[in-house]
Parts: sequence; C-alpha cells; structure tokens
Amino acid sequence: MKRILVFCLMAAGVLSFTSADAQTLKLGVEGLTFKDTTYHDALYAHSLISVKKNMNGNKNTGIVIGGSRRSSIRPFELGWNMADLAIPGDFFDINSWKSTQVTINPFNLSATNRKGTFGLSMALGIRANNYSFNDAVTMEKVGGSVNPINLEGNVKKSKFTTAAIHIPMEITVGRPYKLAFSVGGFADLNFNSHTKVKYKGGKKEKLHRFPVNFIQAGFTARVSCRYLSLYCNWYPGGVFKDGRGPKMQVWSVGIGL
Amino acid sequence: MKRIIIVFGLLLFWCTAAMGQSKEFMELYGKAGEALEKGEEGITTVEISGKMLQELVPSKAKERFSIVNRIEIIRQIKFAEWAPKGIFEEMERLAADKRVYEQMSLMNVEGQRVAVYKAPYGKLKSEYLILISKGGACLVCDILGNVSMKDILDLLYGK
Repeated sequence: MKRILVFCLMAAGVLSFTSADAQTLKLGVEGLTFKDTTYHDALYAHSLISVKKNMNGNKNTGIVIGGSRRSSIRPFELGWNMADLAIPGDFFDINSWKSTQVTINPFNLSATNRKGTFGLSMALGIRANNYSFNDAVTMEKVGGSVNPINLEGNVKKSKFTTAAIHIPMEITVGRPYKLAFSVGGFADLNFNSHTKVKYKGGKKEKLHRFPVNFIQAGFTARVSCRYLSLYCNWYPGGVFKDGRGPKMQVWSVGIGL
Repeated sequence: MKRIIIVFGLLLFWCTAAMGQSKEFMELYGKAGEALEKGEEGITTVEISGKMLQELVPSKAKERFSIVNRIEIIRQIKFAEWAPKGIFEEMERLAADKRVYEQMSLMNVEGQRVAVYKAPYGKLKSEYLILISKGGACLVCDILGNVSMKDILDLLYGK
C-alpha cells in the first residue's frame, strides 16, 4: 500500500510538471525529480570528478558476456561447397562455384575475457547448402536409398539443397573486429532436403525428403579481420546417412560479413 | 515430431539465455522491499520503467536521443535520515566489489556525496549504480539502459 501511495504521490508530482515547456530530470538524494529549470553551463563544467577507473589494475579478470560485437561468428556468411567423394566417379559430381552455402546467424553470444582477446563464440542461425550438379542428373529415393537419374530435355539447372538450424561454437584468440583466429565446431540440424530441376522454358521439378543425416556436425577454422572473416568448414560425416547415398566428405570455404 | 521438439527446445534455450541485470543488486533491492513490507519506516522503494518515464516526461520523449528513450528501468531505494542504514551499507560494500562494478566517479554535487559505479549490461547497455548521501539521508539508484556517464552527470546536475 505504501509503495502505491509513494508511487501515486510521485506520479502526481511529476504530472504537475508535464505541462511545463522545459522539463528537466534531476537525480539527487531526494530521488529522481522532474524540474522546470534551465541548465547553467557553469555546472556542466564542474571539475570535482575523480575517476578511479582501473585503480587497482585488476579489471582484466572476469568474463564478459556479450553479443556479436565480441563474437567471431558473423551474422551473414557465404561459402562454396566441395564434395570429396569416397568412391571417385560416384554420381554426386558438383560444380563448386555454383554450390553455395548461405548462413544467417541472427543470434550471437560471446563469453570473453575483459580485454576481449580470448573467448568463446556461439550463435544460432539458419544454413542452406546447395549442391549444383555438373551434368544433367538429379536424384530420387528408391527403397530408402538415393539413386541418380539422368535427365532428358533442355536442363537449365539441377541442384540438391539442404536447409538446417545452424549452431556453431568457436574458441577465439584475438579481437574478432581487429584480428582473430578461431577454431571450433558446429552442428546443423537438417529440417529440409530437396532436389530442384529447372528446364529451359521455365518448367520446374522438385522432390523432397532425402535420407540425409539429421545432425551434420563438422569443424571450422576462421580468420577474422575487421568486418570480414574467412572460414573453412569440414563435414567429415558427409551429407547422406550411411549406406543410403554417396559417401563423401564436404569442405566449404567462404566469407563472413 | 522429434525434430520439432529438439528445434523448439533449442530456441527456448536461446531465448532464456538472455542477459540479466546484477543479481546482487536485485537481492538487496528485494531486501529493501521486505523491510518495507515489515513496516520499517523511512525506507521507500520506487521502480520506474522506461515507458513510464516517457509518459511522465513527454516533452523529453519527443527528442529522439533523449535519455528517457534510452532508459530501460530505474530502481531506487530511499532512506530517510532516521531510517536504519544496514541495506545502504551493504549496497556500498557491493558497489566496492570490483567483480561486479567498476567505480566511475566520486564527487560532490550541491553538497551531496555522489558515487557512481558501472557494470556492463548486454551489448550496448550499461547498469549504473549511484549512491547519494547528504546528512543522514541516503539514496541508492540503479539505472539500466543505453546510457553513458555524460547522461548520469546531466541527471545529477539537472540538465
């Protein structure tokens, strides 16, 4: 009750000032008050402030939790995929220049030392991996396994895409927005996989739900310099479940902005 | 279904991993609230949200970069001259704890002893703990938001 009374009195006191033209907030031993006064430059130049920052020199200890400012993982990443097939000549022959990897990391979290020179970076985002086939070929699922199909007609583009929730974690040495080196890992939780074939003339074909690994884990190495970072990803487990698609390792290189 | 649950769980974890303000201050603020409920006279707590502040000072809120648009919340504990100062002393000890706060300034403003301490809060925001005393009366003010030391000085000098 007392709190309500105090608050009401304060609000009433404040509201009585709201009609004034020059409203001023003032903090004193009486608390935050709202005044209708003009400000004097002489007071602004007050020089009795004694800053005692870093007095004991022990401010460099402790952990600082922050966002993307201290994180090596960038909000937007664009990379190119390369497949290293276990059986050379297997049907998963892709054009690396057209096989892009797009990642958006809207949520960033970092835990660093006070200087920001060493820490852990984490993020949550969405990643799409595109694998563009070199030849007029696509894939279909037969009996739970992936099989190649040769396409007929005027094929403009044929690709395979996976979309995943992307969770990276990296250990960073250095300041990411100056110069930093990071190593870490990531887990991609696949929620969609499909093939897409575009024919000249505008016709499109799509097939969904391929036997891809639900969790695609891998390793990352990264160099960050100011607003740019260069990264390299390695997916040792490949894209497809064991025995249900071409066995491979995937490498990606890209830039983060 | 399993996938949806896992994804939802991860999103939930991410949302709850958001930053909180200084726990130590909130403990003492809660203590002051308890003292108030017990009927200890001379101790008052006030909590003003940024939205409330904008409604209370509309002419300031119209200015885009005004401090009232950058403050998230203000919490105050006011001690009258005759009130017990146990909580204020605990607050002084907390402020001196260098693991939580960094001392920014110690000054004299219009006869009041003012000590300002700062703690990081999120990416851009800060938490300022201000301890003011004059005679026997004391005030603890905790300001959260995207505020700077200059904003605090402006508040103290009533700009």
